[in-house]
Amino acid sequence: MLRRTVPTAALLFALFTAPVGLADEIVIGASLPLSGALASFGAFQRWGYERAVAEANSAGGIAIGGKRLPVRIVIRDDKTDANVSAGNVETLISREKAVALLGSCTPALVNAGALVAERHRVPMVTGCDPRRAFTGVRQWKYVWDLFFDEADLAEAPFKAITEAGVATNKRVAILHDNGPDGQVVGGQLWPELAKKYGWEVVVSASFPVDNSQFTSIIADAKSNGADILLVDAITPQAVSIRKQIATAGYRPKVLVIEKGAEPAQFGTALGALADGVLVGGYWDPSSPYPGAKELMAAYERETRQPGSQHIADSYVAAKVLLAAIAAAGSLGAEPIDSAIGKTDATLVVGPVRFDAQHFARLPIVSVQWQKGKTVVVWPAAAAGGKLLFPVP
Amino acid sequence: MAATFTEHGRATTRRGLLLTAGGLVVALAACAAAPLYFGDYETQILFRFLVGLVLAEAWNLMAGYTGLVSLGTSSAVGLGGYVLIGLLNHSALPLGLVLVVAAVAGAVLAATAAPGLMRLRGLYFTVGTLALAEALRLVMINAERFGGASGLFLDREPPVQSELLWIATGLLAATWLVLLLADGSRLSVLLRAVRDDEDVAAQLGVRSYRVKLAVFAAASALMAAAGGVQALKLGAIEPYGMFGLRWSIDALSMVIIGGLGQRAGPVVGAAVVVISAELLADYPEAHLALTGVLLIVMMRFAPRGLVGLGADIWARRRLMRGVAS
Repeated sequence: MLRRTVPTAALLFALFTAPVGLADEIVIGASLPLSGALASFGAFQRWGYERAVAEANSAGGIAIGGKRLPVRIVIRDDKTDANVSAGNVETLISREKAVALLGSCTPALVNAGALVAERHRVPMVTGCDPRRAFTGVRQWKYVWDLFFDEADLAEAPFKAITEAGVATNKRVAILHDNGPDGQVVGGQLWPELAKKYGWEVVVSASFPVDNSQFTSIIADAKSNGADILLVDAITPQAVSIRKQIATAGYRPKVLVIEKGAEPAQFGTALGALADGVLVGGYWDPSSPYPGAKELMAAYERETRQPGSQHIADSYVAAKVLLAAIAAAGSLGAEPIDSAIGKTDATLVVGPVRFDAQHFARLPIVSVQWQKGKTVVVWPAAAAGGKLLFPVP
Repeated sequence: MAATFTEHGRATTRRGLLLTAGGLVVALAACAAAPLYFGDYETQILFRFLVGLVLAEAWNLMAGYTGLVSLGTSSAVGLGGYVLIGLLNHSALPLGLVLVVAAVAGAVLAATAAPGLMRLRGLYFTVGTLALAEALRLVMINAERFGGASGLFLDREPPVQSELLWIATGLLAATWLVLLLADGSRLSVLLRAVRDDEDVAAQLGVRSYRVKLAVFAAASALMAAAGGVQALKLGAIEPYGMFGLRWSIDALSMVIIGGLGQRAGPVVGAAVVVISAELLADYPEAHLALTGVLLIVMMRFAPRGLVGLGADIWARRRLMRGVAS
């Protein structure tokens, strides 16, 4: 019995304690939602992170102490669970010996992992966490975020509609999930902006992030004659809401679905029903920034699937981190952290500079689904097409 | 020599109980000393194991000893987490007392829900506990006072890893103490009487409602305390994670795999679940599939789990040796 037990225990111990990070490489870690409700985001982020690392390695790695070292990225699935996200980051630091980290997606997952990184004093660069949701947690020291500001995203459709000069009855219905960003955009900013722009809010309803039945609030919006429907929901709900709007025979002239209408899966799931839906975005391949078009082309070539703006912020987050490691010329947390803070570059998402709250604000555009593709319709300077009005 | 009772009503001696208690104390001491000889990674895994083990032990107390199969573990876990973060943020109470309050909150939740849930039996009770957990999750998602879907953040630095491990070890010690008391006293017989046939037990004078309420409250208190320890470690909680069905499924899986109603079942089950989750972390689909297959195989071919299976094999081998000699 003992003769069998001891080797088994030794094997298990070896599996757990084997040093996986070699001294002649730079290990960075990321916990991503590769399964669960946010798996579609995680797949894009993974590609963005891995592409940036592949580029660094094909350029010969990063010079540390006079020696060029290859970069290895270790990615773990957080199953769209904040508990797992925090555990993953712990493991990436303690087992994989990651010298720096990249973030997950959505405030709950990013913040859970970021708090662990902060506690262990390991630098992290993330996207996918809007300003208020990120800066509201604490004053960060080792975590840096590049993403949009909720205020910019909330106002984009108001500006797009106003500047297009289209005629509506200015009656607006607001439907939003009660997630961190949904509460801010749909619960606070949209009602304030409606007042500012002279629109009348006739319906304002919130729902849990995992809700699937929206018929009553859609009927409410329809019966109140709202020409403008503003929705903030994740993709599965966004698809359900659009279908239930059609089933109810409700035809708003303007339909905005923030967050959920952005991924390609939205268009794939809805087909022609997606046409006319507006969604805010922080990146589009037509953006006038270096490498934007090439990045999307590379994604579509490699995966044979339509891309998403999430490939851009994840790619840039990794580029910023790798550039900081290179600038630091060291694997120490303090030099890397300091170098991240000094980032001042124009990358595929635009200018990236962090403010005192460790946040870099990405410019917002309004895109609209037209014939199965997204087209930038606002601001005029970046527009690749005209606003489709009213919603077909 | 005084006799007490264990599984299937077998009498065991006080010496046996003392030996068991001694073994548990040694195991707890080894856990508490782990940061001295383990690195951060192993300490983190041990922490996950300890929290999972507390949940599994509490679930086993309900389902294995008393026949109360619950899918509401997450309700107590989430409540404990929220109570702990809320009290630490808004009071000057010491951590130890806050953990006790979190446990009491779990017991109060059980006592409050008991009049409704205890009217249900078998599968209906199980569905009732699941409904309770889902209802609480939805309430917390919509309760802005408690942070809504965004949840709460601990406004101070959580304890370091070694301190967290000691807290989890202390909680396990409390859990084992509860189980020793339940397993080594007259209560053990009452629990199994209610589990095996509640109506007959009632006819024989067992106040089954009180017995079930006591177990439900004790298990919920332990689960809530485990939720508190987990929240303390995270420093940030939100309702989807803290009230997620995952806690209920994990506790159930650990006990089914280790051995329902077996004293060592939760230990073995927790070790299998935590280690397999870690080894297969990069293959989440494989881990889910493996756990599912393992559960089905266990329920079909080894209803007493790995511990029961091991005991059967051991007994058979001894019998064969006896026949051969």
